[in-house]
Amino acid sequence: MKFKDILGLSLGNLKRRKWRTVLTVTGVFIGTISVVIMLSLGYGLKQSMTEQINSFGSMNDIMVYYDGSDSSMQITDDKLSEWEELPFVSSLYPELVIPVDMEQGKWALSVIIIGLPEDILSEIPIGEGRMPSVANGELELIMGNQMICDVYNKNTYEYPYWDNNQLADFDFLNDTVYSKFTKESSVKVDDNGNLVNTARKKIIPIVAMVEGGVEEYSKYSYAAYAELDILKNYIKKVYKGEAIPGQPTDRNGNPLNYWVYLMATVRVSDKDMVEDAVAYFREMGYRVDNSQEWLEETESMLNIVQLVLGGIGAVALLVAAIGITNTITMSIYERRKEIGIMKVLGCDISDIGGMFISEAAFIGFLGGVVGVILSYLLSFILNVVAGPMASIALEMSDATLSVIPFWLPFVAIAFATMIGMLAGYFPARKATRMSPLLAIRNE
Amino acid sequence: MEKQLEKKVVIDVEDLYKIYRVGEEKVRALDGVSFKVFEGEFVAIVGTSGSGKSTLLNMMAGLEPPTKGHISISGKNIEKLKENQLVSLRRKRVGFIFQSFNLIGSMNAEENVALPLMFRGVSKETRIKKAREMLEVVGLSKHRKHIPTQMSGGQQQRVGIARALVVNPSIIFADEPTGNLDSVTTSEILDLLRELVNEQGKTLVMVTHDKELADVADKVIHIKDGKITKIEIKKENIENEKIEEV
Repeated sequence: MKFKDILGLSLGNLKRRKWRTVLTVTGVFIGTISVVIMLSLGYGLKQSMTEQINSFGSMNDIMVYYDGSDSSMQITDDKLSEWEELPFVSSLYPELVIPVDMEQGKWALSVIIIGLPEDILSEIPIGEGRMPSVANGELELIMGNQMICDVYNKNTYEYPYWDNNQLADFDFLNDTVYSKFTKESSVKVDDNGNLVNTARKKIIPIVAMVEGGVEEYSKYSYAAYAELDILKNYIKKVYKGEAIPGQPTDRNGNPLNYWVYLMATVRVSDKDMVEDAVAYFREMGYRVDNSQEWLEETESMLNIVQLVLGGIGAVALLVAAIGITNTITMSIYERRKEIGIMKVLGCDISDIGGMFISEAAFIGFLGGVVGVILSYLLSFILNVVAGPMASIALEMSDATLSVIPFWLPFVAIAFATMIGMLAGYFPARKATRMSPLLAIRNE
Repeated sequence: MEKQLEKKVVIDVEDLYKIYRVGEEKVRALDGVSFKVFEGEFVAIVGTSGSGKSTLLNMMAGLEPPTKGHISISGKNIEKLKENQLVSLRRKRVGFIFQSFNLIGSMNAEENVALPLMFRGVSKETRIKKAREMLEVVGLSKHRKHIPTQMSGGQQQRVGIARALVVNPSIIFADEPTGNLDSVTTSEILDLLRELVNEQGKTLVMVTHDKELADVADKVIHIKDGKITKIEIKKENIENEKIEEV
């Protein structure tokens, strides 16, 4: 028997029992929707998370930290030139971290100045202002776009942003900002017994703001940035042989004659070697951070979330499958006589089975198609209605709640069809075993 | 005698038994039945209800396995065949006419007649063309688009006959083909069957409980309590006579 004819007979039978077909298909499309939507929620979460992690830095960068315990592990310029020779390293740079207090009128804030090599400094996206010029050797700063949030009133210790959700009228670019470095010799106890910093105020020009509004977080948001060598020279002059905060001292409390960095960023030449590089530094005892690693961990966690969501959805599809089995079984009992006639007239047994399986498969297919169409609609509605709420809950600027990957509709339809075939298999087998004598018996 | 030798045996039933177990008791539906059906012969199997005639027909058509004995169709033993082989045999060699017509209710006359061809994998165009030819043979050209409920019993049985003929079978089995028809239609249908045997040379085996209907046949096998009581050869229907003894 031709496949086309088997399909034709199946379709004819489904049409004959329109209402029943519609109800069974409804079960399947509800099941399909529940699976597709559940999975799409998982993908939405995954996509939002991945985007967020990507915003923290390049996948090829690994951050190596020195925890200060073992002086032989100090990250120094000598060690950096050693590491530069490693085969997987394409480039690397240290971060020099210097704390400073800033003031303007009644406003004050503590700032971390991070010294970066010129080429890395130029990667910082600049909003207002200009890049610090390196040629004249003058220390100039790029200020993080969210630093304004940390400004407090030095008389009342109130934070306008954190306490009242207001921004201090502190213009980093145009106001005169005084900077004070904390030195052992400058910290005095005043009459009331409080510690005060008597260091001389300096003016370090702030020439640019990091791109982005006050609400837009990036890895450059919460610090000030300067060129590494200029910063080193400047700090040496400021501290003049006194201990520099963050830099270790010798046994007598005197500063060392070299710089120690708390962190270095190692850029790996090949994405596939990131894992090996991470392992290499970790072996040596350093704490290592890498976005890719983080991403992988997050992904494996989200995969479990997705599996659970998909499983919940699949329950509905299982119920639909039982519905299909029921419908086909009914259909076979109703058509006992017809099956018998077909057998007497020489219809191949496998064709009879095929007829019922394709009937079940068609119910699955139709349910799958309708389900996928409605899933897109539901996904759209979810993103429009519930998306903003999710953004707040996940603390993301714009989270997409439901994402349907391009392959999911095809897989969903194929899966629904397969479920149909599976659900139809056992009743179909029953049909093939029915005696042809049922046709001859006169009722 | 010469003519006799030329005749091919189409169905050969040999020492056939069918024993049902009803509780502790054994019921012998067929109790050692043997006979031959020749090519182009119209055979009627006559017996009362419960005589075993329908069981015999079912076994010849491969719908029921015998308990013991042999059946060969066109020289091929069928008692050991598996169901799919039997189905295949019916598809290639056998036409079947039912008492209650057994047309598919959702299909019109033409589609019903074409159904066995569909099972053979014949293309739609060809099978509809053949179905129309067959409907013409049974005189139903005008009704080819009618569904079964729009036709009388006689018309439905003509469709049933056309359906049996459409595959050009070597054997046609008819199970009480006039059992659901009035007397006028009955004789019309019987005339049609007789005509098919005479003109198309088909072999026809018909089961009936009515001895008068059996008169149309060339050979009448009388069966009672699972045993053949008499085999009659009708002289008016057949030229070359042969007396068989039981």
